[in-house]
Amino acid sequence: MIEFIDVYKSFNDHEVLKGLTFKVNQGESFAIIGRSGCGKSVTLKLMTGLLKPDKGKVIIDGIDITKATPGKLAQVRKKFGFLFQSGALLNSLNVGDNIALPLREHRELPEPKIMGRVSETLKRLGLKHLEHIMPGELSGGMKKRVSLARAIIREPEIILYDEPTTGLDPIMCNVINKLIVEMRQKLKITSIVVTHDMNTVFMAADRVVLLYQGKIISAGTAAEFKKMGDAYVKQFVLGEAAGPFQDEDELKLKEKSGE
Amino acid sequence: MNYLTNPFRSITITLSHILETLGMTLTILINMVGQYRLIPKRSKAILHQIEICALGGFPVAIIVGVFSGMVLALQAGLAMAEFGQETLVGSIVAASMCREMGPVMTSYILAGLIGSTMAAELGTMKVSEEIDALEVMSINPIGFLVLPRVLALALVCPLLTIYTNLIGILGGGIVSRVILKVNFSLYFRFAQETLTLKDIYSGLFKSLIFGFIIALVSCGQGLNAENGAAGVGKATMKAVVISFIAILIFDYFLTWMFY
Ligand SMILES: Nc1ncnc2c1ncn2[C@@H]1O[C@H](COP(=O)(O)OP(=O)(O)OP(=O)(O)O)[C@@H](O)[C@H]1O
Ligand SMILES: [Mg+2]
Repeated sequence: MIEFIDVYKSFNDHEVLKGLTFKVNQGESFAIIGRSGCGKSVTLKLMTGLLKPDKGKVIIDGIDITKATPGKLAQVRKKFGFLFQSGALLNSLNVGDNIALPLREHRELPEPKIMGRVSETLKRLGLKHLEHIMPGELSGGMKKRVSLARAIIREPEIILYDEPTTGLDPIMCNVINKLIVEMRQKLKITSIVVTHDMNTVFMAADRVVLLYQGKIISAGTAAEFKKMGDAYVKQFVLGEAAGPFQDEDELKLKEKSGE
Repeated sequence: MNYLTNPFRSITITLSHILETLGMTLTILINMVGQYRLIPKRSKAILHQIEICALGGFPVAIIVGVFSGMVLALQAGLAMAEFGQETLVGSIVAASMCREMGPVMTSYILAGLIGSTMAAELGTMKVSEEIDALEVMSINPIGFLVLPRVLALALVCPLLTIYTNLIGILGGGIVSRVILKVNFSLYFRFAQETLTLKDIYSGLFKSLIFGFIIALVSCGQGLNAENGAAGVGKATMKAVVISFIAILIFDYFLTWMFY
């Protein structure tokens, strides 16, 4: 179980999270949506201890990782697979070695089995026979899928997907959405999906939260979100320019002028 | 802006930067020492880094070696010729090369060539979230990236110093023959007679320490790069400058220790 309790995080003077609280149960598929820059990626980094909150607790299966020793943190991190928004492939390793890295490092499988697993995972993501290509030679969407392969290869307990379908064609989006559903159904993996893609939310998420101004402003099941009357949710789901959401820049200007 | 008008302020700022760098580098050193058990597992990476360092440094080491020896022979030889002592030039060149010029010049080249590469590479990895990705995979970036680089450069630096020394003595010999009209056999006999075992191993020991420091400092600067490409550039510059200064300071204390 993953729990955020009253988490605050700011960078310099910029307050990103202001009292974020939520809970994700084991085996659940949880979507976080919100406007660009609202702190979704920061939330995932707090969850894996890459960032430390200024205040509040981040509890993973009963362990508060904000206070964990480096050794303990490394142990907790083994539960995670993380698809970074930027992909974050190691540019000095080829695709096959990148994907095999988490398995190899922790000696979880004998070497001959690792390469089999790698090509199987690549095939699943429509990337057959790419093992020997360097990441620099891949397209943006291909990089994303290779990173996804690296995140799921160990079949970890929890997978964090940061915008898994951004930059992919509609057909591939569907493949990825199905894969997220499958990972949860077959392997009972807890998934946390950050996305702007409403299809992903409706297809793959059990529960959704909408993040705005450092807090969760609405939460519900995916079905509830579809027909929710809440003005914020409506504007977001339908993608309308006019509505209650205010631009961050405008807000900052208002703050400065003391409104 | 206040730097010029308020010298006290600029001194405190510089001092705090120095302490910060020192603390950061020591933290990495301690963490790296804690990873010594990984050395066999990282042997492939270590060999790869040795290859990079040696191949990168070798050609420049030749040029620098030859000219260092030539300059030494010319300066010392011309001064000694005034007293008719130019036949002794071999002793001066050999002792200065092995004790001082060889280790220091080789280290300077390696700081410029290899240290900067390491800082830029690790800095790029930091700002493109590759380091974060390693951490989430429970792979210690210091064991994975810093350890092989530090060990490789600590080994390659003395090896290249041997080359620089030999080539420098040879270069000095050519200048003695052509300009000072001291024949080779006399030059080499004095060179051989003066050189003690201590001259050689103290020089090589210095090189080993310098190589270790260059790699440690450069990797440290890389791992702490921030703010995209500009941050990587700054980290690279700082890696080279700090390496140069550290070489000078350690050179003094190591010399003092040996003699
Ligand atoms: N390392 C950092 N240093 C300074 N500010 C940061 C850092 N990381 C994130 N921020 C700031 O935190 C805010 C939230 O960033 P975050 O990456 O979480 O946005 P996001 O919700 O993931 O947006 P997007 O949908 O565009 O990916 C942004 O305003 C960003 O400028
Ligand atoms: Mg993001």
